[in-house]
Amino acid sequence: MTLRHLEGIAAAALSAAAAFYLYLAWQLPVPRYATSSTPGFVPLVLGTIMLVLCLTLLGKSLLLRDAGGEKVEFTAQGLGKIALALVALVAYGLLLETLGFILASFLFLVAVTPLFGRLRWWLWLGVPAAVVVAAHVVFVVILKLRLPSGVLPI
Amino acid sequence: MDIIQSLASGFAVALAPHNLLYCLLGTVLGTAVGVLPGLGTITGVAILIPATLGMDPTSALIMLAGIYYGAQYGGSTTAILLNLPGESTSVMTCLDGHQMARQGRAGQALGMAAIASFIAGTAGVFGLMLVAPTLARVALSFGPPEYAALMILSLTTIGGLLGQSLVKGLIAAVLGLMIGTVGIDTQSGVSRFTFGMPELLEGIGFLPVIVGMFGVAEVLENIERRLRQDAVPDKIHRLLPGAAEWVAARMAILRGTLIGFWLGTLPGIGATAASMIAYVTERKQSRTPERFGKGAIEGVAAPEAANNASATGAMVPLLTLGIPASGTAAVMLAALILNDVRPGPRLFETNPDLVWGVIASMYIGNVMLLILNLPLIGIWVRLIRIRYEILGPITLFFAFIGVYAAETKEFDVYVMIVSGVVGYLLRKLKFPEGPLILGLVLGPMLEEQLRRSLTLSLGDPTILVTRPISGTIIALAVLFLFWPLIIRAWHALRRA
Repeated sequence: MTLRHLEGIAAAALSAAAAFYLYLAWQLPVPRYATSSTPGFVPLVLGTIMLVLCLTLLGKSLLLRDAGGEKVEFTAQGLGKIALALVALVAYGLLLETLGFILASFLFLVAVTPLFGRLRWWLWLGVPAAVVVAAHVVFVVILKLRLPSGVLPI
Repeated sequence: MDIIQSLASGFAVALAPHNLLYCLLGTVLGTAVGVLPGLGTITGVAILIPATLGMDPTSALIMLAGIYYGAQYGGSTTAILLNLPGESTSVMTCLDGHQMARQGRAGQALGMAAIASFIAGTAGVFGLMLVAPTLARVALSFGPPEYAALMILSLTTIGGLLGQSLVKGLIAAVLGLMIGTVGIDTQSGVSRFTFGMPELLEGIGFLPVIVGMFGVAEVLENIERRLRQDAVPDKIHRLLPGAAEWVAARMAILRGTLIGFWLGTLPGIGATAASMIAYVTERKQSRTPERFGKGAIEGVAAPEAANNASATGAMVPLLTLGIPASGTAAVMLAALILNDVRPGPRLFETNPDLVWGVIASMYIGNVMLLILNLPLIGIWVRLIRIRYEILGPITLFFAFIGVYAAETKEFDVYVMIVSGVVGYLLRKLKFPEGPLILGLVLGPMLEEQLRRSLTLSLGDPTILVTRPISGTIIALAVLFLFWPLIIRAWHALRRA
């Protein structure tokens, strides 16, 4: 897909979002004591500017000739890896309180490492273990941050 | 005399053992951030902000400043050895620095980069020390309209000059401002765009957005494209440049420093553009411009001096006006606010220990960086060999845990993930992220100053253009905004 096509799609989506934002800004209540400016004043100005800018970008992508035809590459493999990394991040967030900082962090690091490339098995397991222990010492022991302990008694 | 006394008290603060330690930590981390490919300054500062929360603000700022200018030093190492800029500010250093490395002169190139950075960094701090207090005194007379106008100028120039397209830069800036309007309106108590979610009442935090937009997005992009890592030379010989190289480079360092410092203080120019301008200036000045791109020592000295002086120059508007001059400075501003420091002209009066302590620490930090980058260069060369398969997951882990640990809120982690996806898409679509962060950070302040201005003028918005200083600043903003159109119209007229 060319950059120009993607810009058009993004501009259309952002225009719709700006219109919705403007609608919400219009609905904001005006306090009785409001004098020179209301809570909706700045959002209305911003929404209008955003709509104008997005429509300009949309117009450019529809009307101007795309001389260079710059391409934006998306590969199924790349997008798949990104999706898996995001799933791992969400799962880490969900499991952090239940499993605790040490266990959830170790599992997260072990799970995402293969997305970046191949490592020997001892590096694949050893680096996450070392990083988690070092982070525990810095965050919990030295900086006294409260991180969930979960199932482990630490 | 005032400045000397203030600097002396600043050194008393900076030389306290704990502040020396934070300065060393900041410069080491900054050099590492600059050296490691796939980890830019903004990402590095963003990921390390949580580590400074809860610290004494002076120590936090000393450490953050160390990371910021330390990254400029480190960026040159990968540029010279791998032809891969660890930082966008080191792009120009690649041209001649890598050629020198290929000719077996890597040591001299690295040595010149470190020494030029040291001289420019130290001279930049001297400039900051002279300019900042004067500017702060002038800014004391500014009212809400002048501040609002300055923020508008900053947003339009950074939105307009960063990235390839004016419209895209401005969309990013306005998007940041719009995100900044989420939450309870502090003046009326009305909740805006919260959709009934209590987590949004306090607004969307800077930290998860910044870490997501830079840290997570950068990792997602690198997962997709797989970073290329070339072989690194085993040993670096002869780090000090010879007499002939000194003579050739001395004026390049001077010119690079002056160009870098002044361009650094202006919003929207940034260290990358400063290093490019310094390089081009040097090539134009040279009697033998054909040597450039083939291993000319001036081609290393000028951009390295410029990017370091520029990083220090960017501290002038940041500390005195609270206005960031670049995307990285916007992240620094967010870090200061999160550490309960409100930069602005009153900071010099209300918190002189902090300001002068940081300025003094920058002199010390530059000496530390010279030691770190000359005798200890071997350590950084070894660090470059760390594979991204190891570094990528660790970056993601620290991004996550940093955001979570800052306020122990699970919601912030999800904001970071969403911001990471948005940041990835922005990169794909070639939208600059710097203006978005600037909009997010300046948004609430801009709204406050705009509404105070309107209260002053009883609702008349022309107050922004009728007061002489704010009117001039707004005129400059409009000029910057329409500059490309003016140039195009001028060329069309000349052709006609």
